[in-house]
Amino acid sequence: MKRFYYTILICLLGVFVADRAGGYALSVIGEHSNIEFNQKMNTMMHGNNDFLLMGTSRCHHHYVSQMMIDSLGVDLYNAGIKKSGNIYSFYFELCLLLKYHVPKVILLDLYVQDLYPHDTNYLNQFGPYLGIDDEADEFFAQVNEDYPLHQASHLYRHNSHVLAKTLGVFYSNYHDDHGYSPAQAPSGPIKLQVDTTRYTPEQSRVDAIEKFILKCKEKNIKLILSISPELYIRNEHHYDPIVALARKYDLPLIQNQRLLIDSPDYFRDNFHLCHKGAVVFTEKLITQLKPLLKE
Amino acid sequence: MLFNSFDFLIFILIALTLFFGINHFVPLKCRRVVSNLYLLGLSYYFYMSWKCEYALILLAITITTYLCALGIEKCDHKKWKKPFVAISIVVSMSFLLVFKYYGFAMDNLGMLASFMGFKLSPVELDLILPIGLSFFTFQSISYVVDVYRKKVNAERNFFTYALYLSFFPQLVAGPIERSYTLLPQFRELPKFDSKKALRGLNLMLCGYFIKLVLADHCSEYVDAIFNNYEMHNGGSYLVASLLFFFQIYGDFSGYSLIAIGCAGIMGYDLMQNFRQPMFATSVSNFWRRWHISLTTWFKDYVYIPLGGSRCGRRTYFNLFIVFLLSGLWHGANWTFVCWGALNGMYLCIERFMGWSKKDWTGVARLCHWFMTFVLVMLAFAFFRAQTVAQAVYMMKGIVTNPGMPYFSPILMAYIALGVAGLLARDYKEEKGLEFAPYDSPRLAYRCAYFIGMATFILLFGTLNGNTFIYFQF
Repeated sequence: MKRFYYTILICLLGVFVADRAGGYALSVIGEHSNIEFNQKMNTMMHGNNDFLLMGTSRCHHHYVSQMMIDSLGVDLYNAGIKKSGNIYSFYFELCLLLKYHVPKVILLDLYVQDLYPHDTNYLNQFGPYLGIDDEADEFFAQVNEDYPLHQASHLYRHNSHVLAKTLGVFYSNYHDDHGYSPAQAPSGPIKLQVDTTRYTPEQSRVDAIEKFILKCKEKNIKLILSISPELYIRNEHHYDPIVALARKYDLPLIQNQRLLIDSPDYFRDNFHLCHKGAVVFTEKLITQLKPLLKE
Repeated sequence: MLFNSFDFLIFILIALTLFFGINHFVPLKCRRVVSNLYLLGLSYYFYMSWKCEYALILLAITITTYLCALGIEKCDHKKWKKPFVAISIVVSMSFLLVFKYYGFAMDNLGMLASFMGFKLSPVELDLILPIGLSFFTFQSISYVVDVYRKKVNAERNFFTYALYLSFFPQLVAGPIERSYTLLPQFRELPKFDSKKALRGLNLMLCGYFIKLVLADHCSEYVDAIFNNYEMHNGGSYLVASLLFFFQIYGDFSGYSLIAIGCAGIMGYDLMQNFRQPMFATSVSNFWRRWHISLTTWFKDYVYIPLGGSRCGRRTYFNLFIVFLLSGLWHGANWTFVCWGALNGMYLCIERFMGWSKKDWTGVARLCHWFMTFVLVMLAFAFFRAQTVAQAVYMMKGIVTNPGMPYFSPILMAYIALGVAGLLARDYKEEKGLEFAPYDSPRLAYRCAYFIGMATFILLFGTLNGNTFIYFQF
């Protein structure tokens, strides 16, 4: 059995070395990669924009940055990240961002659905950004069951984007329009959906948003909450958790969830606007934002 | 504790270190007893990490079947043996019936009653199915029947028998071992040898590769389509059905390889559960290669007692019933029954046409391979669908609503990597090619292979603990 024991010992050592070396190599590759996720994270952290739009794919596809820049005359970046459909991501991103600069205004696009229990896998894509900020790491450890794996393996931190990131050295899928990316029009007609279930928000997710709000207050960042359109009819109490948060912390809340409910043509699917829908929504949003920004 | 969790990695490292420690340092006189007791404790700990109380079910089945087998052996006359067989089957099956089929039966009775115009309000038990129940129930039944058939002697040592039923690598999702192969291994000291242990390690890594790189990436696509099927077209249904085949194959064969490899490192041999099913050229051939431990279980304990293939036209009935039961074994849902019925029907047609016995060559072989693959794949769509209506809707959609499938290039690249790995392994096994870098005489080659595999899995695998499909059965 000596042969087996030696193999195991050397393999364990070898995997450790390969893991650290591979992790480092992928970090370097990541710095030169042009994939959307990397570009957005880098611009968000190092772009020094005064006005940041934060959220998930809905933010990414709904807020036409250039229109807002032209109308509001602000230095704005749409930092909505696709597949970050998880309320926890926002606080992690905020901690990283504050490590480099403090924006004046943040508009946080909230999707109430994100407050309800669902998987936390999306957080794994932020693995490569561990080790930058202690508070972000601590929060990551708190909400992500996979944290021990991220701690043990540096290669694993790059796991969720490794292929895209490597290919991203040679090509880019980043649509450079101040972070906004138009969603493709749907292949078929989209129907209005009805879901009148009354869900109970998960406390840890509400806590994460509260942390986000308190952090903004601490850094004197003007925070605006926004709910963008969806093609859904929800329970009348569906949006209560966000309304309650806005009231509790005296924050402006812009509610447009039903703005385009009669226009399925404006949607790519029930959760995302296509470009023409995004233009209509942004026009409306600008009028709502103007008085808030004057304050 | 899932095989693909970080907890299991820690568990197995500690467990194996202690196991080897015991087998090196404990005096030879009591080594076997200590080793078996240690493995038994480990297996119960492993099982109890899901839900502590459910270990009592495992224990109850163990005690019942242990005593019944002893009773069977003590009785001289066949007439007196049968009640013991009946008791053990009834006790073992009662847990399965209550935990797995009660809700299903009540739902259907309720529907039937309302259809006939009266109301039935069954008591809702709201039970969670104990993990691995179907597997260890079948394993215990096979033991009792084998004792009854005098194929194996009843095990006198309770702890050895308890270990046979709860051996942790195969406890929760098989392979469903036979007493005449596994029990004798616990009666003597495990035979360690480096070659076997390295092979075991390689099997574990291959299992992880198939599960984490292939199956879990396929599941992302499959879930996206099957969970929102109304939003997709026939092209997506077809791709999702194809990928579900790879998902379930990767998921279950991956689990089996990890189990066999894990046992192999400790010096125990478990039966092969999959034998390159993708190379099957008929559905009956497919079933000789897929989930072999369950298929042979049904053959030995249901099909042959029913009369097998030696009773003329009744053979068709026997075949169909066996597959219907196999479908029901998988889950309490009509989708599984339909899946079983479809496979039963395929086999009956094949038997009728005489295709199952023919050894095809050339183009005919290719055509039969393709047909088998498509038929099996389409049947598996029933396995994955939530309802029979959904499966039928999707099957219809493939024909009536064709279109470009939903496509995610990066995800497809991961899947292609996984499929390539799986096909390469299956091809090597099918052709019996001698290529074993894990057993290379040169330490550097061996280590480079293992390190390469491990880093590849770390980089490209989905390591967030997606459960194994067969755990729900």
